[in-house]
Amino acid sequence: MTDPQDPTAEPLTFRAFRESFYYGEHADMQYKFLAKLATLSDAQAADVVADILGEVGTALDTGDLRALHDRVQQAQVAAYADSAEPQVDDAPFTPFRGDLADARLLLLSAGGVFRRDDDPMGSDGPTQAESLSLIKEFLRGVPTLSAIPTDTTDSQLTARHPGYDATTAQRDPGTVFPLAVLRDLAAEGRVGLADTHYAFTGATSQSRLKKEVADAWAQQFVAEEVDGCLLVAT
Amino acid sequence: MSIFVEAFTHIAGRLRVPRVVITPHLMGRTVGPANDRDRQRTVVEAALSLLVDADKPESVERL
Repeated sequence: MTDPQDPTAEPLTFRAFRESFYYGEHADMQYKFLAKLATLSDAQAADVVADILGEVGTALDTGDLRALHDRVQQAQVAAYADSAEPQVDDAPFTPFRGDLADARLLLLSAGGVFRRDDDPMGSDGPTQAESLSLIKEFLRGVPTLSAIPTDTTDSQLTARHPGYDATTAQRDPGTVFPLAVLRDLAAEGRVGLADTHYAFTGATSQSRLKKEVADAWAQQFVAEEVDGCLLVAT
Repeated sequence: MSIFVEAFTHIAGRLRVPRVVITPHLMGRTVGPANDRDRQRTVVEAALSLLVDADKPESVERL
């Protein structure tokens, strides 16, 4: 935190304040989009912040969070509208044949979910907060799958991800890993499930993901006689 | 089939995923808000329907 008594401290500009949410002094994956509002001037970004704070005040009075939710969501959409991502050339498609109830559906999430007793970074792996300072190491790393058997309950799961605030997934893994919902649907005879599901941390080397592991993962799922995959991005 | 939040709709498009459900949720809550199992189920059911019903690549369902 900034020392208010420090006479040498530089005045904090609004631009610097915005950018501090993006792995800076105020690093917060819930609000890092404030730094990503690159197409907006500081004045326009200030309007966004003021609008959100105004909705906070209203929500405190009414208890209705919908308008606040919508304002933050609109800001996130605006913040990422111009982000550059790699483009692929082909658009593969395989029609689904048969009955979902007889299929073996696999859940694969990029949300960094794993079993509490099977931390992919070892028993002394970093906390969610600690992971933010390791973002560069994550982005250079080889993605690894965490295996999660179908009967794993939400209370047996946790999450770590330096690209979004995984404390939400720690509270409720279903936000990015809806295995409990799939299990409900399977119990109702609506869908069949594979024996094991998987998650990885999407904040990883995209090159290594594409060139080193994606094909091996696909072959593994084929070997596990999977008929379809539900992929959840974060 | 895939699920993306609206903020990353363009990324799903660039990746040309076969089937994608776009949700109007906050980042990090792709399937639905925390502890809102009904909403999460609605999203998963939409994805399963798209798996079965889609007849062409890059099929998009917006919730």
